[in-house]
Amino acid sequence: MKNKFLRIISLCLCAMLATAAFAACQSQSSDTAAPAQPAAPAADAPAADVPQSAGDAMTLNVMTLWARDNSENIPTALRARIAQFQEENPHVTVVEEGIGDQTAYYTRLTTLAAGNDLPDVFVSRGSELSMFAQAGVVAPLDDILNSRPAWRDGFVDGAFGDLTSNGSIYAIPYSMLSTHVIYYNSSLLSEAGFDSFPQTWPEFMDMIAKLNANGVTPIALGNREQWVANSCVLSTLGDRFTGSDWFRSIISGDGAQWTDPEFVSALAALQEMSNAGAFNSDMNSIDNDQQKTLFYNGSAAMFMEGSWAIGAVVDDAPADILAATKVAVLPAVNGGKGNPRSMSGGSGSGLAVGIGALQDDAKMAVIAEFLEFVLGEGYSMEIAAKGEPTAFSVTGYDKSNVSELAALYAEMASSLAFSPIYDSFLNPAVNGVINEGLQELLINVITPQDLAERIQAESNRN
Amino acid sequence: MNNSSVHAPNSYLRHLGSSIGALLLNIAMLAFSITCIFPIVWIMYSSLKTKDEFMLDIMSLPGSLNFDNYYTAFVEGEMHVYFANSIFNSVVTVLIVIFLSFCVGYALSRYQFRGRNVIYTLFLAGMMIPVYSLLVPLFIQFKTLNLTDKMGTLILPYVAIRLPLAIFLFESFVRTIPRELDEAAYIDGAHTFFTMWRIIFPLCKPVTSTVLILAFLDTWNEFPFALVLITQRSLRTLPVGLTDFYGQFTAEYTTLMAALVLSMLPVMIVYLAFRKQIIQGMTAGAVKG
Amino acid sequence: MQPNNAASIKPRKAVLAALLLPGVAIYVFITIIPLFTAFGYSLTNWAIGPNRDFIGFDNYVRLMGDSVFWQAFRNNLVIVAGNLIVQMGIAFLLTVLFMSRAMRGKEFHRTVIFLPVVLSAVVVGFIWQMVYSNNFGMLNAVLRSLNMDSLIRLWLDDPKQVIYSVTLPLIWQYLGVPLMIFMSAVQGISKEVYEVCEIDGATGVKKAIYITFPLIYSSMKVAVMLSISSNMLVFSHILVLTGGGPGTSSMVLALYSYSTSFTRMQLGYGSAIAIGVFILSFGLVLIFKKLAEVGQSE
Repeated sequence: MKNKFLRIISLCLCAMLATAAFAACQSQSSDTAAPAQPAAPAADAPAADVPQSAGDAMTLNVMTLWARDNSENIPTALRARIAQFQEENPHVTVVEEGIGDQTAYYTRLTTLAAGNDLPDVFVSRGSELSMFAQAGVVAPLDDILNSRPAWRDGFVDGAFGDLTSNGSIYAIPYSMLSTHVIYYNSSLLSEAGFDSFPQTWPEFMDMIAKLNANGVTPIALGNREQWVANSCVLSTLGDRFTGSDWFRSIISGDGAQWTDPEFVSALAALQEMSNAGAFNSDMNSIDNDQQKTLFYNGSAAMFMEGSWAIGAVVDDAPADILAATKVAVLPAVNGGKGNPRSMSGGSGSGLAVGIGALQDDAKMAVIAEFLEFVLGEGYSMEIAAKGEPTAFSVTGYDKSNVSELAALYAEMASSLAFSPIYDSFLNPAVNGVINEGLQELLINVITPQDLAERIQAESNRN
Repeated sequence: MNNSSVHAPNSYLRHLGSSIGALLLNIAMLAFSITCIFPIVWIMYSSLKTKDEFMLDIMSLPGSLNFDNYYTAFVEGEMHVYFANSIFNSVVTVLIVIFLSFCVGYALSRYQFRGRNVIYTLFLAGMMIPVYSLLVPLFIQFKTLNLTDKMGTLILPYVAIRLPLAIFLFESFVRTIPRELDEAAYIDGAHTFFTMWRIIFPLCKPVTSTVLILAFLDTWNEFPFALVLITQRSLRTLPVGLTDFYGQFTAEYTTLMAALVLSMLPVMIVYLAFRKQIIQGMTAGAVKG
Repeated sequence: MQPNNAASIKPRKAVLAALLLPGVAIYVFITIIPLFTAFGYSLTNWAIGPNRDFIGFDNYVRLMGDSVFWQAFRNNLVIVAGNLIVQMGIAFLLTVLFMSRAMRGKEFHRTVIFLPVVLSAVVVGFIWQMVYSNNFGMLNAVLRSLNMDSLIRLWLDDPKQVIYSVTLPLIWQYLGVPLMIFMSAVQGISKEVYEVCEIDGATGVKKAIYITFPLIYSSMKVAVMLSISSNMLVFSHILVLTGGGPGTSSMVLALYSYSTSFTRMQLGYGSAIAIGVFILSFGLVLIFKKLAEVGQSE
């Protein structure tokens, strides 16, 4: 009797488990692909006072990767615009979910994408965006842009470059950034005999040797999180050797290979820098905040990070270091095919829209309005006045608050072209292999050739 | 117990040797304990420093007591909301875990039945699943059944994840309680549930406290499920709320320290309140020992 | 066995069901069903989104030849061994010492040793980075002041060293857990038994072997299983301290599975790794369980 009871239970269990495993092998059916249900506002949610019954009442879920007390220029300006949008559109309830920790943000984003339940509007980098686009979990935004030509045409050239997949635009950029800026301490450089930043590779390597001789760490590198060496160093160094056409060919898959000698030379140059003592020996165990600390306390002469670090340097560097800080980019390399007057840059990331919203015309209209309002001229004026490079071109903003360092950067940037940011275009899996491999390359655990082959192998798989 | 008593021939020398040994032992022990307590003390006094003081020297004591960080964390950071949610989830989870794991643990240790090994192995298996691999399947499962983003959403996963360890702890403890106790009660006509809860459970105080502390701790600090299954800020738990204090490129360390102190306090209180139970444990009248 | 005893050993079906069903049901719903779903994913080439194709056991073939996976497994074994030998050893030693009279301030130590357990991984990572830091680290400072400069290492940057460097914080932080489990088990030993033994002159070692050990044997098994499971699945500490680097030299199984699924967004292969982790960890625990049963029956 008990036998029977147990047998029935175990049979049921087995059936359930088999169903679970079987269902997992199938593509999701249409019911799970249904539009995201707007979260019902709880009693104490900020949405509580909005009448549910109002005809066109609507909730807009926005997910960002900024902590709520983040005081950087972009999130501050963006949030101010969101608040203003909320005020002017009382029938829409904008619920912003900010997750300040990158790891946490991407855990959540991947889970939502896997369940095809991405929020109405969310921050996304070019890298995963093209994957989302291929999987059909994000909405193309061409119609929105084309129905608002004045707004569309206001964006600077290349603003949508990283955010385009198969000819469609999938996100609206909120800034133009460079991922490669060399912040250098000009007084440490002149102590080593360099009154201006070196313009050739041999000179650059000579400077590294002289800085070392002076007991200064030439370049502070904090690569624990692995993206710094890829995004802030290799993207530009690689381009110096290969030129941007090579990278475009990699992305479109028309022939270029990671194992091409130009790219291998770029990896070799990076390894050579490391062997020449260009970086601090604990480069793989400190992060990009700590690399700035080494620069601030004068023990390192340079660090390489994106244009976003300007604000941090201005806020946190001691006055004498700040006064000596200047900006540069890597010099030309011998026999390089790339434009030496370029730096890796682009919009990098932007606001994307989950596919669920596409099923609801009213919602899509609100989203279009929202994006134009939040990422339009008003927002761009505001961040431009703080010295941030904008994706939407604006003129006549108040320049009095722009810091000296930001002005230096703007001056340099105006004479430089942008080359592609590797990790904005590459698939996350390939990025992972490059990131991991660069750590090994920097400590001589892998040869440039082997790393190139490893990247190619991962690239073939995708 | 055992009769292998050895009488020392030279008890004076041995005594001297052992007291030097004891001294060294106590010094080593003290040193170790200091490493255990220092981080917490450090976080506590750092939370009272200003940001500039902290940046200047991370080890120094605060110049003056400055509770602004707590105000920022608790009021401006809306930590009170997260705090309430975490308390709710942890308390409910712990109560259910103790109830269910004692039931299962008791059954597993007292009864021989078909399928006993299957159930035992099933729970053992649960301790070996990388929790992140459950995130996507569980999220889709919860979404399909419309269980996400509710007040009680997290209770089920929390209970389930804590069950195996709690069951094994109860099972191994009940096993050491003489079976005669149950049998005597059974002969007296007591119902199984009565025997279980009125006679055996009170004897399990030390292990109940252990389960309580560990389950509370794990639930209080749980991160991935809370991150994925909850969207509304008003339902967020502390660990997810704490990510608010780690900026993307900047970090307000002193506010973070204050938030960390607030987040550690309940666990420490629960631990300090219940650890006495572990030590005192078996009360007079127990058959054991 | 007497007939009336048998009754208590073979309970009524309904009683048994009432005791077991609620727990088992919740548990199966939350862990076992999703585990099978994850197994289903592992048979596909799923990256993200609604589309995926069934590819049979290709992911598992790839897994068998994946050097990072096996490196991560070796690293996990180092961490498990370190914790089982060092942490369990110290916890047992302390349990014995707490029963002896030589130890002063037992109350204080007992309370304090558990405290690091309440720290979050982020905090522990931050603290140990300060310990290991190359220029400002406490460890190197201590070594320098003791004139033992030859022992100074790049604790977190040397690929041969790093796995040991990440094991130590785990041993330190979670020492309180086995200790608490052991302490709750020895409470059954009455003071009198111990004192009688001391009068008899039984040495500490004898007491440990003949009294303490047998009494906590059963709890020790639980503590060992817990240690194996938590160290086979260790994740956030490694993520915070090294992220698995440099390269993959401190990569562990759970982190590899996580980053494949969530950072590289390869949910199919990531699930296959997770199932691999599950099988290896479960296998390890079953081997241990067999050994423990053999040990007990002797």
